Amino acid sequence: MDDENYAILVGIARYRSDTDYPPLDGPRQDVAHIRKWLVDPNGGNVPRKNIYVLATPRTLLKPGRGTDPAQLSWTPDQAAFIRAFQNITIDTETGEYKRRDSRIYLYFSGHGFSVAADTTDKAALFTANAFGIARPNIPGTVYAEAAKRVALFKEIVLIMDCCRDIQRNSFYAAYELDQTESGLAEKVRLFSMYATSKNGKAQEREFADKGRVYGLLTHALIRALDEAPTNVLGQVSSTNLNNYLKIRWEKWYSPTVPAPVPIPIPAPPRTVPAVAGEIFFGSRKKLVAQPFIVRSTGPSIVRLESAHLDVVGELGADGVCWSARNDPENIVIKFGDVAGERGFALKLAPCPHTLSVSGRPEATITFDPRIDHVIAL
Amino acid sequence: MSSRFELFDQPKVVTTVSTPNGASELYLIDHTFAEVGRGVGQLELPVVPGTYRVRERVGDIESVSDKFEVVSDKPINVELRGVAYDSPFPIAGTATYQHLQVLEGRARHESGVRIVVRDTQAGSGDSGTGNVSLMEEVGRLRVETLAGDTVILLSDAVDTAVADGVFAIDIHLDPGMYTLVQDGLDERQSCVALHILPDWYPAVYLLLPRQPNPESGRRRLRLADMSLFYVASDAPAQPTDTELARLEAARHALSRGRAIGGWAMLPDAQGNPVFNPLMALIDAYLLLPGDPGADGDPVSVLIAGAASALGASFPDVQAVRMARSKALFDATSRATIEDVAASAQTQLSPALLGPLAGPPILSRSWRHLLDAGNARDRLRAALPFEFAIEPSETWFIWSEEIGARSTAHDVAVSTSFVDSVSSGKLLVLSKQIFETIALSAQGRDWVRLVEDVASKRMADGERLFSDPTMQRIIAALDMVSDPILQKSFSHNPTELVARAWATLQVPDDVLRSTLRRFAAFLVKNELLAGLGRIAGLTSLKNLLGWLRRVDAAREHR
Repeated sequence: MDDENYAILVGIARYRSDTDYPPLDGPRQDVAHIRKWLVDPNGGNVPRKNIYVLATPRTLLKPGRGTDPAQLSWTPDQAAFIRAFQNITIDTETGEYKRRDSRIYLYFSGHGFSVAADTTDKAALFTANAFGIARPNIPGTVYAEAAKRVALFKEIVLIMDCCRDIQRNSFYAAYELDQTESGLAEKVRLFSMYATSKNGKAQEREFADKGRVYGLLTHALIRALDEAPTNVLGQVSSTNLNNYLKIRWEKWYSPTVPAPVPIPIPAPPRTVPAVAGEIFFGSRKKLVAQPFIVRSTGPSIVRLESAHLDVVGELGADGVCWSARNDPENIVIKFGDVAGERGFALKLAPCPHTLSVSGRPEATITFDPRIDHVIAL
Repeated sequence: MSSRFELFDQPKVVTTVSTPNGASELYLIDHTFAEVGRGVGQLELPVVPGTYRVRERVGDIESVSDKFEVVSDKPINVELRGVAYDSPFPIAGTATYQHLQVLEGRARHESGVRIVVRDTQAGSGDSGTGNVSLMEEVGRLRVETLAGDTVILLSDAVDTAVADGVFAIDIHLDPGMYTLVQDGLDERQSCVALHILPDWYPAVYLLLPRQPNPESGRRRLRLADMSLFYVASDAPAQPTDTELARLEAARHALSRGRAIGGWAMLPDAQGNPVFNPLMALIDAYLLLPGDPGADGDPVSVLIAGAASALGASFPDVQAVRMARSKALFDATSRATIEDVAASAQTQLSPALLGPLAGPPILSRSWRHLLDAGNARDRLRAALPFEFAIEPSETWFIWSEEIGARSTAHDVAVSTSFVDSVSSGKLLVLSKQIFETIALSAQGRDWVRLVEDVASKRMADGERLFSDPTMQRIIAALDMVSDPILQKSFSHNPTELVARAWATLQVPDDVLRSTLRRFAAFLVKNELLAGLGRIAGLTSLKNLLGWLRRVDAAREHR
């Protein structure tokens, strides 16, 4: 468990004005769905205590008949988010930033918008107390970009499962964060997913999963995280996650019931990759730890292939460096003790794999991590 | 890509992926869900044998191919089915296809514009209702000069639909800067620049969407969704579907900030090069920063092509040059600072620093023009009126109050007039203003209005109206607008003016200088229009004409 990973999850299902912001069935379940993945050691691996959940309370789901909405406390609001954000990012003793060499997830589900003048992807979530001309909001992108600018975390994952209607008269709520860019900002990886492109509509839908309603982005994200191919460490890269989700989207969300007028397939989410490099996510797939022992003394190069894996490893004196095709980032695994010998372990999918050694075609073997165990190189 | 794979790879196989219209964005994905390659229109690249898929998309409409196997020694050609998106252009294969020739019947070698308005429901059989709805929308469109004078109401130019749910209007226009204007709500209108060129003929296509506007509950044309194509005036043939589809795909990619491009470099079906200036501009933005060190750097070539066709002073050409220069400076890690500076210097031609001819076409251009060091003055000169930027990711669209441009133009003309008029004429005109007031029962209201404006516009008004000479002028205006005095001198208002004028008693040069400042203040704050109405005239232009005629008449005496 990475004690330094954090998350703020905001799900707003009810608003003071149910005409301007119609009730939503998805956000509370979206938050629960994301949280379940986050707390899983094989998923987000975020300690429960580090997850701030700001969701519509049950009391607001069905206020008593005749209740005056003006008398209710409409939450979550902007103040609740700022408190959570500051709890994570500001040192209470010094008042200075706490910079962490870890990851923060910023997740939003509800009614949202984008500002007409945006030139890059941005979105904000209206808060529950939005009413009439008052349109308080939490500009998720603004916070994520600020966290990057100040280098509060090494990695930032922003998920905005909300509409991005263009608003001419709404503006992103201001929050005073240092405008000075940290020298470390360039290395911070910010990966963002929006339910839709600017001026697009997000959708929620009832699924067979006990009739629960989820936002499509949230549903697709968790499903892709659970299904997408993993690397040798059992992780899903943000690029592969995006490709997997986009390739499966049409299949997952095409209308299943014939309609008199064809129902269009919802547009896939908008993804903004991290410029500074890949972000890797844990996978809840049933992966198998595959040990290898290294008996060869000289350097050699091996290739490991399966249905969804194709990597090359360069065995050195101290460890092995794995490269994936078309991926500039390498994974270096130091040798350790495996069954009393020098070796390493990989987390592989439970399916047949082929291991070949450069220049020694006779050494090619096929193995299944579920059956075979230690493999000698 | 790790070269260590080459130790294991089987020989690569040339794989070609093509689309029906040769325009979509293509992303080749391998069995590990990694992206192997990307391109536009068509992909041709060597890949190792294996299982692949292709993501094909235009805008937000995306389709994924079935899996296919690339086998050793067998080059493969994968033909995708295409994506059906809505396009204002009548492109075969789109969701809104209709058999129409884009520029059929156009008078070649003549400058102008073709505007085509289509209904997505064309051909649904409900043509009568559809055309009425479409006609209403056409009635909200007109072409104006940049100065705000109406050139043509589109509803006056269209007789009958050229096809079910289609109106096509050809408008002959002399080369120059015009605007396509759409009436909006609250006395405002939306505008987009129409650059009419001698050698390039624009065709504007607008599509009435399927869904009603949430605000109005009605189906509305949106300038932001229009398609635009420039064809050479002497082009013998219609643009092909492929050309139009590429422009549409590139337009959508630009509006979504995609990191993919190259449409402008694609040849036609016979392998011949194709050039379209708008495509070149869009592609240049998509491919920025390019590689300044490469031979025939595509971005430089595209910008040079656009400049050659549209002119170096064309607003979007200036903007993309600036964008290129900035991108090169931002990419200093990829070249020596000297290389970058030299390349940027080449891009920063004198035209870049010169005046802007008018608004750009692309919203991306507007953003880059805003980034320029002297942006404020240059943009103010090009767009000397109050406006708001409309949300549009492709086109530069602004909204303005009805009449904003013509008023600004009149002010510019009249301010210039005041500056250029001789002192002698100025005195004559000033006295004419006094006479106008002396003859009118509303004269006093106008004087109060002037004082009111002066108090509100402190920056201009305070300095001028605290001037002792100006205070005398105001006192004299009070005198000629006094109802009792007007009644007393009703038989001879000129005498009242003469007596008021006599109270000024300041040196002639001081009086002339103050009167010039006063006249400029009146013009700048559009107060002469009110005086025009008092005099029974209807507009500032008429007043100026009237003043000029008065002036000329006086000279003849």
